[in-house]
Amino acid sequence: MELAEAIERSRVNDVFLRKGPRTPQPGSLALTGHHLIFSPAVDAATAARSPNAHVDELWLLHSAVDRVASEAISRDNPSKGGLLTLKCKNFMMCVFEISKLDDCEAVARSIETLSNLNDVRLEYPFFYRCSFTVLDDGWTAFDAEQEFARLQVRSDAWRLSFVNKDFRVCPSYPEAVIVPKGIGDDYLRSSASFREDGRFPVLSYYHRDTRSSILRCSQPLVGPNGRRSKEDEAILNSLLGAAAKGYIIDTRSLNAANSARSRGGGSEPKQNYSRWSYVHRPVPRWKELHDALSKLVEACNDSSASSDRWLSKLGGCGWLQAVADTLTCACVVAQCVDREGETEVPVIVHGAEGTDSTLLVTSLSTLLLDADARTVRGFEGLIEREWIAAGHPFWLRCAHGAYATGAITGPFEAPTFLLFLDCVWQVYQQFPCSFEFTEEFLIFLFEHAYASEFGSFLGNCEKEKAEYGIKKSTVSLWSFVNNPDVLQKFFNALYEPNESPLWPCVAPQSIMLWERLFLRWQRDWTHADGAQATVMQWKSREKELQSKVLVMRRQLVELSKEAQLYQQTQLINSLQVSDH
Amino acid sequence: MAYSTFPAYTEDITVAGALLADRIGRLFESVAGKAPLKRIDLESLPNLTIKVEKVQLIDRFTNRSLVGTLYVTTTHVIFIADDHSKEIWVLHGLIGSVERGSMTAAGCPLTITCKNFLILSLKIARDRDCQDLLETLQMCSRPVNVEEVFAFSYVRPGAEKDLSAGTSSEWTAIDLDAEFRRQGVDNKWKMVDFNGEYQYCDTYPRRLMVPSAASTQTLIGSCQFRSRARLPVLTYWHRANSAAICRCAQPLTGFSARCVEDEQLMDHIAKANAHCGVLHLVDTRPRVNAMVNKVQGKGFEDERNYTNMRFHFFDIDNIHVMRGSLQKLVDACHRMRTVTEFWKGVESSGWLRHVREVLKCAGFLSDSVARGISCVVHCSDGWDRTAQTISVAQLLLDPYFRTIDGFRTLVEKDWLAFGHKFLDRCGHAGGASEEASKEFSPVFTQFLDVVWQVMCQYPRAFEFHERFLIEVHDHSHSGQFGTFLGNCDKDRMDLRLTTRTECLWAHLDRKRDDYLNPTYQPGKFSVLVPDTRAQAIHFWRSMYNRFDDGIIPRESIDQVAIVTLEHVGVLEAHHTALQARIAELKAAMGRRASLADSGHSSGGGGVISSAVGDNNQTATLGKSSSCWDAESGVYDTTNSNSLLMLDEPELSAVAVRWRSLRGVVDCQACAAHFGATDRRLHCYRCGSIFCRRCLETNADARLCKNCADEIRPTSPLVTSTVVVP
Repeated sequence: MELAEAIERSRVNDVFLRKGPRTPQPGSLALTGHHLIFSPAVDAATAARSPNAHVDELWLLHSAVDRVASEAISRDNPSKGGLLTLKCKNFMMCVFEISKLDDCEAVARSIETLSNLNDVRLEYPFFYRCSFTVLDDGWTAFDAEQEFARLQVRSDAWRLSFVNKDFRVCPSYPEAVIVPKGIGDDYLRSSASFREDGRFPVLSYYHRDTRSSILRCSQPLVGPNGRRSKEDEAILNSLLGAAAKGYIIDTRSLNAANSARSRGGGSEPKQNYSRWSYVHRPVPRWKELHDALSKLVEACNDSSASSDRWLSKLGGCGWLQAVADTLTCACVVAQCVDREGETEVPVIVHGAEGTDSTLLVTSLSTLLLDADARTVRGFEGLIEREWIAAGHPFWLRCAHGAYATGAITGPFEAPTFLLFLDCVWQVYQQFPCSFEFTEEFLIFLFEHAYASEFGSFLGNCEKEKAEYGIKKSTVSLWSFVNNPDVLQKFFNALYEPNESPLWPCVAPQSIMLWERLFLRWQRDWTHADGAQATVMQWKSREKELQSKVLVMRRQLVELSKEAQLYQQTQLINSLQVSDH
Repeated sequence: MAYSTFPAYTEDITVAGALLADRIGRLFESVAGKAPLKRIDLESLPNLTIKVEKVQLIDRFTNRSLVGTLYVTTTHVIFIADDHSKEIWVLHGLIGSVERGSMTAAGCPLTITCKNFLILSLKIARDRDCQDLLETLQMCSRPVNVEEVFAFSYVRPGAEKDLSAGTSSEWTAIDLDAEFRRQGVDNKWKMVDFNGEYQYCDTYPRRLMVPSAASTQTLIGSCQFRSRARLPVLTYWHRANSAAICRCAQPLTGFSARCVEDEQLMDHIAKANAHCGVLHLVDTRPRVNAMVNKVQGKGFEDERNYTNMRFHFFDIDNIHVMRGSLQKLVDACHRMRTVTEFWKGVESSGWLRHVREVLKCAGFLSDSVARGISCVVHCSDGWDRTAQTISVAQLLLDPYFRTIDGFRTLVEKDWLAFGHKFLDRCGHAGGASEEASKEFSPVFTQFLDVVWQVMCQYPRAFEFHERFLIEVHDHSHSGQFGTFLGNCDKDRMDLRLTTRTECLWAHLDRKRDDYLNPTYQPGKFSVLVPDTRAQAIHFWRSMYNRFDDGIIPRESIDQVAIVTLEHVGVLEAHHTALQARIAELKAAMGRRASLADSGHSSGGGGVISSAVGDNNQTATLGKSSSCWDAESGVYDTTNSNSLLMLDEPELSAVAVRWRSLRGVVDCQACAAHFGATDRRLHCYRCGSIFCRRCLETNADARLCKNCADEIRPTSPLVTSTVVVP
C-alpha cells in the first residue's frame, strides 16, 4: 500500500482549532503520509512585515492518534461543517472545526487509515531523517556482550549463551542470553521445550551485595498430566549452589495458576522443585489493565464530575490498585534478594507468558536494588534489556491507548509499559533525590512507546527487529536522548547518587495519581513547574557556588603561601644585609 | 481542680516548666533554650500520677509492637520505649478520645486518639492498670473549666519573671484599625464604638467598621434583626475597586418578618461601593437548611425586600456533618488496607466534597469582589462557615494574607475577633458532657485544609509552608497557648489571657524560618483563581497521616529546597568574603613589592587590625561584604606580618559541602530523633545536621557547639602574636 493513496485531501482550509494544546485559533490543515499539520492563519499584516517568518505549526503524528471521530456541527444543517475530534495516545484531545462536512469526513477517514497501518515498514521511523549527529549510537550502546563483560567483573557464575542464534530456540528472546555457567546449551533447549514459548530461565539481575540473582522465564508446561523436565529442574537447582533455598515468585494468584494448569501451563510442583519456596504475588493481568486505564482517563477528563463520582472512579477503576499490587510484588522480590540474611538467594519470577507481568516485576525490583538503574543511562539500559530485548510485544500492546475501547481495540492492547512507568514514578515521588532523571523523562518515554520517529519501540521482539531491518533503517531513541542538549532537559538537579536499595511505601495513601501525566492536558501546570524550576535553579546555583568557592580557596592558599615565601626572602635579605 | 491529689498550683508551674525546658520539644518544639537534651528521671518528678510498665505500642501498619513504659503526668502522656528507640509526648489538651477494649491474653487494648491525628494503640498487661489509665486520661483530657487548661500553667522558659510580675511581654494585640488602614478603606466606611462594652453583640469585637452613611439607630435596628445581634459589618475592602466583603449572621425573618433598618444598612453597604450598585448576598448553607431555619423564626433575606441584591446559596454543610465527615476520613486513612478500600473510604467520608464546597464558595466571593461586586456573607450564626469562606476569599484576593504576618492577621480578625468558638469547637473545656461533644467540630481544621488546597495549586504564592498550617492547627487544640482559648473577644478579655498565658504567635515567630516556603515569590501573584474541579482537591496526607513515618516520603523536595536555599545564602556570603580577601592579599603584595623596590623593608611587630577583621568575619557572614568595605582603608598602616599566617580563617569559616539529608534520622549532638516532617538544620561551619536546640543561632549564622567553641579561642590577638619574628 502506498501511503499517498490514503490521503483524500492533502490540504483543507478554513479550519478552526477549537481545543488542543494551543489557544483556539483559525488556520488550515495539511495531511502527509505520517503527519497532520495545523498551520495557524497568518493575517496579511504580519505576513507583509515578515514574509519568511516561521509559522508556528502543530505537527501531529498519525500514529499518535488513538481515535478519530467526525460529526456534523449541527445535525439538522450539514452545511455548517463538521467537527474533527482526535483523541491521542498521550491523552491529548484536539478538536477542529472544518467548514465543509465532507472535508471533515475525508480527513477523518485518512487519519483512521494512516494511524492503523498494519505494515511496520510503513511506519514513520523508516522515513525519518536523522536531524542530528549521532554521537552515541543507541543500537549498539547496550549490547549483550558489554553487559556480560560488566557482570563478569562481579561474578563468574554466569556465561553468555548463543543457544538462541537465529532465534531458533525462543523467538521472543534475543540471540545472546546470560545463563548459569554450569548449564550447557542442550539443557537450555530442553528447558525451552518445557516452558511456554520457549522462554527458559535467564538472568535478569545480579545483586552484588548479597550475590543473589533474579531470573525470569515463562510458566512451565506442567499441564494436567504433570509433565516434568529433569533438565529444567537441573537448571534451577544449579542456581542454588550454597544457598539452602530459593524463591519462585509467581505473578499470578493461586487460582489463576491452577486454572492455567488445566490449559497446559501451571507452576513448578513442590515435589520436583523441593528446594524452592513458591510464592504467589498476584499482579494484574495485562488484559485487565486496558480497561482500568480507559476508566481512569475518562474520569480524569470529566471536568464536571462531582467529588463523589471522581473519587469513586479514581478508587474503583483499578489502576491505582494495579500500581500498588505491582509495586508490592516488586518489593517482595527485592526483599528476597536483599534482606534474606547476607546469604545468596536466587529468585525466579514468572507469570504465564513471561512477557508482561514478569518483566514489570523484574525491571522494578532491579530499579529498587540497583543504583545504576536510576541514572539516565542505566534506565535506558534497563528498558532496552528488560523490555525491548526481553520481548515485551510493544507493537501489539501499544497499538492503541486509553481512548480505544470496544471494537477499535484489538485483542492484544495493554498499557503494561505505562504501568511500569507509573510504578517508577511512584518510587520517584517518594525518593525524588535518588533518580538522575525527572518525571519528564518518564512521560517522554511513554509518548515514544506509543508513537515515535525512532525505531526503538518498533516490533515485538529482537527477531522482528532483525526481520524488518529496524536497527539498520531507523534511528534508536537512545541516540537521540543521549545527545547532551536533549539529556540536559531530563536531568534532575536534586539527584544525589544513592547506593542503597529503595524501599518505597505501598500503603494506599502513598500510591498517588500521576497527575502530571493523567491531568496533563486538564490543568495549568505553570505554577507547579515554576516551583520545581525554582528549586532546581537553587540547586544548580549551589553547585556552581561550591565549585567557585573551592577554586577561590585554592587561589587564596596559593596567595598566602606566596606572601609567606616573599616574607621569608625579605627576612633573609634583611639578615644578609645586617651580616654585611 | 478535677484532680485534687495533684501538687498545688505553684509547684505545678515550676515542674511543668522544668519538664518543658528539658524534653517536650519533640512534639511541640516549645523550647528555645539551648541546653541539649538529657535524660530526665521522670520517676523523680512530683507531678507523675501514673506509671505503667510493659506497655506495648502497636504499629497499625506492620502490627509490630514496641514495649515501653507509659507515664502520665499532670500535663502529658509520655511513652518511652524500653530500648529508647521511640519517645512520644502528648499534651493532655491534644487527647481527643480514649477507648479500651476487653482483656485478652496479649493484654488489654487501649486506644488514645489525638486531635492532631496521632493514634496510639496500646496493649496494657493488667486490666486494673488499663482501667486506671482510661479514667485518668479521660479526666485529664477534658477539663470542665477553661481555667484548668494547660495554658494557664505553662511558662515559657525564661519567662518566669514576666509572669510573676503579672505581665507577659509577648502579647501584641491585633489592631483592627491598623488592619483596615492597611487595606486602605476609604471614607465611605467608618469605625464605630457603639458596641464598646459588648453591650449589643457580645461575640463581635468592640470596634466595628460600617458604612459611613449608617446611623447608630440603623445599626442597632439591624442588630435586633440578626441572629445573636451579629449585624453586617465590613471585614475586607478591596483596594483595587473598593468592593467589600461584609459578614453577619442570618436574619430573623421567619416566614415574613422584615426590618427597615437592616434593609437600609444593606443598601448603605451596596452604595459604599460607588462602581457597582449590585450586592451579592451569599448564604453558605444549602437552601434546605436555610428553609428549615425559617420555621424557627430565622432564615434568609427575601430578595424582594432588598434592592439590587442577588442571592446565592452554597452547599456547605453544618458543623455536625463536618464532625462526622472528618471522623470517617481519619478512620479511612488509618484502617483501610487496599487502594480501592481507601478511596472508597475517602469518598464516603465526604470530606473532600466539603472542602471543595468551601473552596467553591470562596472562589465565588473572590471572583465577585475582583469584578467589583461587594458581597455580604452569612450562614446561621456567621462564625463557622462564614469565617471559613470569607477568610479563604481574602487569602485569594490579597497577597498580604498569604504571608506569615498576614495569615496571623486573618486568623486574628476573622476567626478570633469575630467569635469563632474555638473553646467549644476544639474541645478545650466543657468536660465530657454530651452538650460539649455536640459543639466540637473541625471547622478550623477544614479551613486550613482549604488553604492547603490553594497552596498546592499556587506553590509560589505563599510565604509559609504547610508546616506552619500544621503547627497552627496543633496549637489551636493543644491548649498550651492562650491564643485560641475562649469563644470570642469578650471571653478572652474576661479570662485576662494576655497576663496569664503565653501567646502562640510569639512562639511561632521564634522559629519563623521553619515555616518559610522555599519557593515563595513575593509580588508575583495578585488575585488567585482556584481550580475547583473535583480532580484538583487532594487528600492532605501530611496532615492526617503525619505520624505514620513510613507513609511520608523519606526524601522531600521541600526539605532539600529549604536547605539548598540556606546553603546558597551562606555560600554567596562566603564567596564575597573570599573575593575580598584575595583582592586584599593581591593589593598588599603589589604594594609591598613596590615598597621593596623603592628600598624600604617592612618592619616587624604590632598587632594587625586586618586579622581582627578576618576573625570577625566568621561570625558575621551575612554582613561580610560591608565588613570588608570598611576594612579597605586599613592597609596603609598594616603590618605585613598578617600575611605570614597560612591559617586563613576564611578557609574554614564555612562548609562547602553540607551533609546530605539522606539517611539522617537524628540530631548529631543530642541524638533526638527527627520526625518525618521536622526541620533538619545544618551548622554553617562544619556542615553537619542538628536539631534546633543544639545550634547557636544568631542573625548571621547557625553554629553547633563544637564549632562555636573552636571559633572563640582563636581571637585575633592569639593568631597575630604567633607570627612576630
